[in-house]
Amino acid sequence: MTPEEAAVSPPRNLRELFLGFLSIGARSFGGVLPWAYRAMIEERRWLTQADFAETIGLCQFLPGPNIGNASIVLGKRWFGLKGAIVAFLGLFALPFVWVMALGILYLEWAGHPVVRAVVTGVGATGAGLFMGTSIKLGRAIVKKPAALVLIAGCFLSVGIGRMPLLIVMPLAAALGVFAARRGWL
Amino acid sequence: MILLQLSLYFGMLSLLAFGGMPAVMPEMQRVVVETQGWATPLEFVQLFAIAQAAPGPNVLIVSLIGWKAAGLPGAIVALLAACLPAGVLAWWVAGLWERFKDSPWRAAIQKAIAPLVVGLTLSGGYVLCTPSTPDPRLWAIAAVSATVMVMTKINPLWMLGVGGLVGGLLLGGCASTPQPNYEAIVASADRSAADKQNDIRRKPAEMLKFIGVREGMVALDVSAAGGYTTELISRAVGPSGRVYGQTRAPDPRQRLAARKRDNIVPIARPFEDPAPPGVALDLVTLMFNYHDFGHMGVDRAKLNASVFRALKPGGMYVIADHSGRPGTGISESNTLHRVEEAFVKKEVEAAGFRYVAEGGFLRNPKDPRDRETPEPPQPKDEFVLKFVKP
Repeated sequence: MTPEEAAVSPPRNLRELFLGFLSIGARSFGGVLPWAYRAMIEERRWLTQADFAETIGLCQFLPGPNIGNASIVLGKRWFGLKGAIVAFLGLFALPFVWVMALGILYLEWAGHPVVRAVVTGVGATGAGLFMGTSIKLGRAIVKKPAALVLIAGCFLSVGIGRMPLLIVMPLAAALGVFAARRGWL
Repeated sequence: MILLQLSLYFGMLSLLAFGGMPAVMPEMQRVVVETQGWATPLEFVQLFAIAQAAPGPNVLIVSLIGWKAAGLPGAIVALLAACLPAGVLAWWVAGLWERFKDSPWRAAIQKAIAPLVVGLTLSGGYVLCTPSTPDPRLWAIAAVSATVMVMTKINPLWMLGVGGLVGGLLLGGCASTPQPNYEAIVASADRSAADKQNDIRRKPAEMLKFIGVREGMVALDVSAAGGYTTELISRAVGPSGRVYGQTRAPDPRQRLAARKRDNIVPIARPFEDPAPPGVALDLVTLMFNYHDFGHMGVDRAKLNASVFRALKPGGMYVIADHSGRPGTGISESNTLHRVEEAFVKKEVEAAGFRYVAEGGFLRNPKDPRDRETPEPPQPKDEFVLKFVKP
């Protein structure tokens, strides 16, 4: 057992689990992952860094909201079904209230042109963050022609052509696995 | 019904969201805006912005969409639907994950998914900053934000704040005037000659002003026929709004589609239930056809109740028609093509509407109202009534 592993102490009861995830959700301005790391690794030492990375890796590999998946996987590991439910509720309780409050406030003011312009500006910035994310992720893989073809195919069919994802996703995934098995990716 | 739709749809998205929610944003926009009409294109960007600015997982945009479509139950159902199917999968796979650590399939799938996530996330960004008609200002904001994100390690929250400020400065002036310039809309050079001929007796600028059409509204024009009013409303609500043009049967002449306006949605539905399902409306208009429902045998109580249900609280219902003499009710429906104002008012109020105002701009007190077309020739006496859903 490494010293880091020895210092790890998983949540002792459901209350601790709930409060831990509540504290992650409550503060997670600008992205949940950094706060999940801080709360679970640095503050509460629920698991090791490597364990955390492995769990997040699994959740990024699977479909669905990553951090939502992580709350279910970790909750299950420590307290079974009850743990999964408690961790999920803890994570979403406050952010749900924040976002609904902000949404209601916004609807009150949506008729105001300046408010609409500001919110649209925030939306466009968020859109840019998506593009930035895809550039960051894409830089590592575009050297492979097959990857470039898949990226372009997804963008043209879904982004420009507005084709249903239910058609594009299985097709692209099958092509991707085929290419990966051939060593093209 | 909407709750079921929400849960099925977001449940499916949940299982397609590889790499997280960004990958399914373009699909979500397609269905929410284009297929279901739960939000307008610009509203979608704004809901996205709210979900980004609020602390918490970005999946919470589905709660805002659910809330717009079906209130608080919709918000909860949408969130659970977007999280649980994937969560159950994660629950189940977590145990197997370790075992397949060295499987070549795990590596292959991981490699296969990476380019899809990149392409779909890029699509998400593109779709979000191209709400309806491409706006170079939105593209510029997005491009700067993408560049800053790639080049630096600034906390995205700061970028969202600055983006909001820039948006306020860049978009505030012209993106959204609170009240459109109705005279300019009527004077638009690209309106058809036939419509402009109609303007002489319809007084469209006064009508739009009386209705109080605003940019971004979602409207329904009941009995749209050739679409004269539909097009005027479409121009007034602008690209961020939308107007449904209802006809009883699909128009063989496709006159609404021929108007070639992106924000006109032709719909064929019965008069008793004219509103598109699941869409909360700001405005319903019914121009010069209420009297016809008398001889056509349309159940007007059903019609008015259906309009009432489809409107948001505060939404408006505006009815114009040819005025009939006191005591005639709707009895001259097929003879003089007139209906009594007080009769319409009573029927609409019975559906729960509150009467707001009467527009006097189409009145002609000299019309004896004893013929379909007054003699000697003069404008018909016509009333315009505005009601609101309390």
